Amino acid sequence: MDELLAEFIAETRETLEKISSDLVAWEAEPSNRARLDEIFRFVHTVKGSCGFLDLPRLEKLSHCTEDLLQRFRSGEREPSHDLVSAILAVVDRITQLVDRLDAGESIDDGDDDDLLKALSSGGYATPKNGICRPHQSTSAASTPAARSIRVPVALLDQLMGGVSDLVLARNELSRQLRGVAPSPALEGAFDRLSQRIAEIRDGVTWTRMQRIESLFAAVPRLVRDLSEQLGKEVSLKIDGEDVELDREMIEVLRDPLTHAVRNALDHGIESPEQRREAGKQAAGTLELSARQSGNQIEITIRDDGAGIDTARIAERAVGAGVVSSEQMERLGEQARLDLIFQPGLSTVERASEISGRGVGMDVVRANVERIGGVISIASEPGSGTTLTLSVPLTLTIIPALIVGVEEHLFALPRLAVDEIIAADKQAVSIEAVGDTETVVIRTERLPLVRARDVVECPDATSDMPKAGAGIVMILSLGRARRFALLVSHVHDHEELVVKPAAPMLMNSGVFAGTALPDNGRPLLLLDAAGIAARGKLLPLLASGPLPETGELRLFRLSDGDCVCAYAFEGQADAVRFPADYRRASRPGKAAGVGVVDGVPVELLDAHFLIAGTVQPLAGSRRARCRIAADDEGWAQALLGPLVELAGYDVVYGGETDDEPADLLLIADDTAECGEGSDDVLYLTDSRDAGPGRLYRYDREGIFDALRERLRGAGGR
Amino acid sequence: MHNLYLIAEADGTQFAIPASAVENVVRDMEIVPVPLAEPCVAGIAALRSRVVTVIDLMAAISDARAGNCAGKPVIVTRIDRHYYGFAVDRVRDIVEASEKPKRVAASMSEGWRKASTGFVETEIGAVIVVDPELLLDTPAKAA
Repeated sequence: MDELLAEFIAETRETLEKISSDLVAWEAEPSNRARLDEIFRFVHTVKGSCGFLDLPRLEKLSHCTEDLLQRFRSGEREPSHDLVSAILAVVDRITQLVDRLDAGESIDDGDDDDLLKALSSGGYATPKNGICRPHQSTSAASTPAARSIRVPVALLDQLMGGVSDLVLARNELSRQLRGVAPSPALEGAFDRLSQRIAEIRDGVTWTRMQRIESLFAAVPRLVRDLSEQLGKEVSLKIDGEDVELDREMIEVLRDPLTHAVRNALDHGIESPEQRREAGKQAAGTLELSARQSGNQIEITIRDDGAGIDTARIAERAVGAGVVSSEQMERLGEQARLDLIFQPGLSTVERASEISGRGVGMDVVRANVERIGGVISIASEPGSGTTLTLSVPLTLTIIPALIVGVEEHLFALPRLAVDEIIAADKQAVSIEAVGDTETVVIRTERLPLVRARDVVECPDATSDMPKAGAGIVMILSLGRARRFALLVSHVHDHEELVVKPAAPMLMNSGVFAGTALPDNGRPLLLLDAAGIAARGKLLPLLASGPLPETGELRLFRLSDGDCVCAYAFEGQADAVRFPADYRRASRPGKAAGVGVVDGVPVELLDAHFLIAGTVQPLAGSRRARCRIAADDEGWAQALLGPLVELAGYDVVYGGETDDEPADLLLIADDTAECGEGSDDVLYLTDSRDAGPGRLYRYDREGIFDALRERLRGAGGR
Repeated sequence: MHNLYLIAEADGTQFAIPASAVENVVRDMEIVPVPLAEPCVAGIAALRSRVVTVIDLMAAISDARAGNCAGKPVIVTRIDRHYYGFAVDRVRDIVEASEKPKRVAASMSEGWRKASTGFVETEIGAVIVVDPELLLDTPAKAA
């Protein structure tokens, strides 16, 4: 019985979701008889199951709904907005009851009269209380066309593991076979075996796939409810429902998608009045589409609303201290748009009921990036916003390149690699800039990271490899963030099953997991973003916006320890600068102004540039902040990132001699809350902050205090 | 109440690992060295379709860099969803102890004290018990 009930719960949930989305679609197109019939069948199936499992309350609800639908079918009643709402309310009630069943609670004989009345309102006789057994004739029609069974995902994982073992055993066999005398019969049999194994592996992979429909199914209802709540008119278009995606991915994408739809309706699409004023149709359009390209699935959420006001984002970002106003001036339009992915930014002044739930686009991006996806946004003022999520097809198997760094082998996700070029090719030249290197490929100059330096091969030979030896791989971290990685050689292309690695291996942040390639020797998977963070890239400064493409002239500035580059335009000339130039009144990027050939010329303060903006490249370290908190989860998940954003390295826990901290952040209510000082800051649960004491949820206040102390420490 | 322990030896010292924690003992594991890991990590190895992080047990106890573990027997355990293998010099036998490990106020070195839950009396005499989970904590905290 328990098993039956569990199956009923799972099936009913799925069916209810489908009913909701179908109902909304049918409401828009009441003449679609086939759809109405389908809804009727679904409801009928639910009713039948309820009767069978002796759940009278559910049965009554579904019976009355079925009854109403039957009257729609016979033309006795005309569908109306209110009636569809009433059916949706019944669907919600049934969902609640099913949830209770799932939690092991019993369903009491609660009162559903309100809903039942709504269903039959309009001078219509209340349906008989008697229970109708399902008709034999219709129960045949309710059988779904495709037969399927339910399997726990854990079983599929186990199966997948077994298949991986099978592949490794096959490889072992293949090695053994090489040692024996060649025999066509044996080889034939072995080839057949290999082929079958490959087929099984593909098959198991596909069993983990699910149509993206199940992700989209909840959207029509969401859009209907939200547009009603917001007083907006929205027509929804869905495309590409038959694209298939790993089950796990679908679960991970559920929240980001819901959030994106909420945002589009709340902030994107305008009210009907505003739209008419702007010369648009009163009803806005929300387009949801999915398509597969290669091993990626691209999901787009497009609205034809007002677009995003970048000026307002800029204002907010400066206000929240995410970017300084000087930095903001240098940012291009797209970069400003991308600011909405920064934590702590929301373009609406007042968090609304719909999307202001404390979940920002930063969380959406984090969710998407966690599964190896990329999120991007495009917006045109007045005509709409497009959000694009590109995610890998599956989390478990990824196409990868196997690269050699000295004698070590690593895997690199194929998706991160844009191009592979031998370093001895004419088109490639590696040039040293300061203590970093860049590579010029055709007309593009990219920062170069030597993989050997990043992974610090313990037994690497100290001899420099010959100039031009190795392979240059161009890696991209999303749009416009490209760099080159120099490896010793590229071995192979393989589909790898990637698994998380033990923390002892992952601490460096350079690796993303472990994998077992066909040769049975385990590998570490390199993480492109981790490499970029570890590699030494030369900081670049400029007084204005940089061109997006093309060549750039740079001054290389150095104070002996630190190096940075400063971009300039046009001709550079060596001239005599008057010693009696006018000193700037306070320290800044310009040390002062002098007159050269009758023209005022600003003198840059190289030391200020290096000290103020550039992180030292080597030798010295970032300021360190120690967080002592009673709630470690909160400290690591929320407080830590904020402190890092403010420019500190973060360590947790009590004081040790190994890691002296520049600033101690105490968020422990059991601790004695003393007076804060330059190197101690208290976070408290009470809102009355004092000197050196801040309310622990005052993100902006904490951020400002940290920045202030960091600047203070820099000046010492 | 039977308490089974696996007796192993490394650097001339005998110790016991609770048998319930041991998944497997593998000989002739091919260990692939990995860069940027904790010092006591000897490398990674494949055990069927799983990847095992191999740790030089003595290096973990004495907080040293892993030595050459090629050809050494590896005791595989599963901790926190990950597989770890501890390379030792010899794996001897499974013995039974009648009681739970006892803390003895002997002058153990720091590393042993952190990795051990005490001594057990067995048919081959008193043996120090090493808890793999405690062993993992040691280098992680020092890092």
